[in-house]
Amino acid sequence: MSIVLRVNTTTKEIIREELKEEYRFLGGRSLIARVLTDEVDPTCDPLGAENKLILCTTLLAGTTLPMAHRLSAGGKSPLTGGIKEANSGGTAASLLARHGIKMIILEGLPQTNDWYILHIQKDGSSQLVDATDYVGLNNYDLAAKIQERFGKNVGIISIGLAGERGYRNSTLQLIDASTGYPSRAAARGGLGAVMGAKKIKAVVIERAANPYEFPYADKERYEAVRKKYIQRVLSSPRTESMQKVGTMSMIDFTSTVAALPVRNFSGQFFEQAEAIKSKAFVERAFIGGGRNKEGCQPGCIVRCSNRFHTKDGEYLTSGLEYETVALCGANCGIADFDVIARLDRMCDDLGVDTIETGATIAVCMEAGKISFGDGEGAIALLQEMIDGTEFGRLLGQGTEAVGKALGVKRIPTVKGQALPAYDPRSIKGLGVTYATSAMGADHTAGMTLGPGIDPSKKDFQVERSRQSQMVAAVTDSFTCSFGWGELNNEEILPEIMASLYGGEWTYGQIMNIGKETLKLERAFNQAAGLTEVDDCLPAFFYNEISAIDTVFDISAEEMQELFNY
Amino acid sequence: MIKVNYYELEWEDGKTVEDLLQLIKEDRQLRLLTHDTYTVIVNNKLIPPQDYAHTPLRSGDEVRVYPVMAGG
Repeated sequence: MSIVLRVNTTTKEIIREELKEEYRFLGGRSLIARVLTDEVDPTCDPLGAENKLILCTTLLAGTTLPMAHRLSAGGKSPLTGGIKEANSGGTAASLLARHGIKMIILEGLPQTNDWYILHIQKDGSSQLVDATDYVGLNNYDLAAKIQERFGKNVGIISIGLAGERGYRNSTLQLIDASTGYPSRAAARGGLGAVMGAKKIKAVVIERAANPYEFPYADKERYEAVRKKYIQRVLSSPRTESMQKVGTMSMIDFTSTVAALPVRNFSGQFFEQAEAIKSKAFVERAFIGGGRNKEGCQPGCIVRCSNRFHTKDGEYLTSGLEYETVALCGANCGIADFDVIARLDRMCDDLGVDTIETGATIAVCMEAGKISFGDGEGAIALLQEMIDGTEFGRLLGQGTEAVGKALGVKRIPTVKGQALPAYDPRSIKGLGVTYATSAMGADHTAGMTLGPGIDPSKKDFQVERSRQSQMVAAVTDSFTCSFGWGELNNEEILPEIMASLYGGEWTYGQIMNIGKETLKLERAFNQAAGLTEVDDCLPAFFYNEISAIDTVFDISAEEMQELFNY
Repeated sequence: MIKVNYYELEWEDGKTVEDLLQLIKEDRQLRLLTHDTYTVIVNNKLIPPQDYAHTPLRSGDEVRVYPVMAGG
């Protein structure tokens, strides 16, 4: 796995390079942190020529290990002004790995208004193809047109109108392995706008004619540990729950401890929670031909995804996830799956982050633009983003920009990025992660629930978040987080590394990849101008008491202890 | 009656934390509340796993049960 494609969008030159030796034991998030550190000026304009968009695969890509093919995207974020890595399932990483491609770097800035598709052909050659006919399309029509021209089974990484227009909440959309639709998103931080600035409408990857063979250091040893890993995943009760309900099962828990965000992070319980809990979800999801147990990437054995149809039986969206239902649902006072699924489809089509969008709509509700619970009003706001009205373009700049423009005092963001679906007064360790992660508020940057600590108390949360953030940086360098639980132990993980790359590995060595990644990311942000002031939660979480009688009470000074790695 | 994650639940005094976790596992309504790993807090006191079987729950007790979570 050693090919790097460097695409200069100014000169249109594509250079095929060998992966640097010092990058060999990096992948996904850790690789992005290192390349951005080495190649991008942290003070640059995120939508300018100096920023780069990096697309890369994980350390396990190219192997037969299930869940290994996440695609990581990275660059300086137009939303946070800091470093960003966002990852996604879908088919792209698997197809890149079959070409032996570890990384694509899009750099420079075009001097004309011409748009291109980066086309990787089945023989491994690549070219920039005129994309004039594709400009102005949103992701679903775009994917259909690309599939018609290049073949049904191509991988696609694309932007909709949001990326074209430079919306700071814009995504990169990828093709879902089960449905064939562009419903998977590298969603956070506005990386769609970075690709849009470089006038690349899509990356299209054909299936390699001569598939790359991973050079296993010890194939027999690898097969033994792979078998053990798969057995553990398949026998895990978590896998059973993920297959039956998917991430939506989280709502059954978060709604009971006031962690589910309700009406712009009011800290209250959601009176209509029963209508969006997993029982209601499963009942609704099967109407019209929808189904569960879908894998978003080829070869997945957790299969936590789903497809959601209209009641008339038409496909509407896939991968309706907890975060989307929480932010576009409860956080907007909406408890109707049909409305939430429609919002999800519109977000994927336009190419905007459902977390950021849900939080933005809720801030509009708080400002009185529409009422909490007004589903049709929420759809109308998203339609404004699609139509590109003046207010719609403001909505595309994200929750913080909208909140400030509307004079809202309670804006739930950190480093300009909206909080995901866990209220930090109920799960305080996650509040520490939101505040201190270089990514901005991001639940995947360090989940803190686990044995031994009361999540509603401040004790030990900084230490737990530090440890979780290190582990999360490793997870995002290796695999999907839903396959990580059974991989993340001293028996399996070092054995996998040894069988793939040779030598003997310790668990501590592997965790060190995470620690070094966090250090690089923080240094990038500091050089970009972010300071301790940016490592805080909004004031209202400190002074508004939630329904479980808590406030967030870990001071900014206490959270700075997190950086003593 | 005890409270589990702020929800009221009929309860027979003297049954233990372990009995509660078993109930959660078997009850269709409750079972998806948590996955396989728990943090259990009774009346604001953290209960270590080795004490689940001999920590009785009595009427009026407030219990919080947390799963391990990832992503979404």
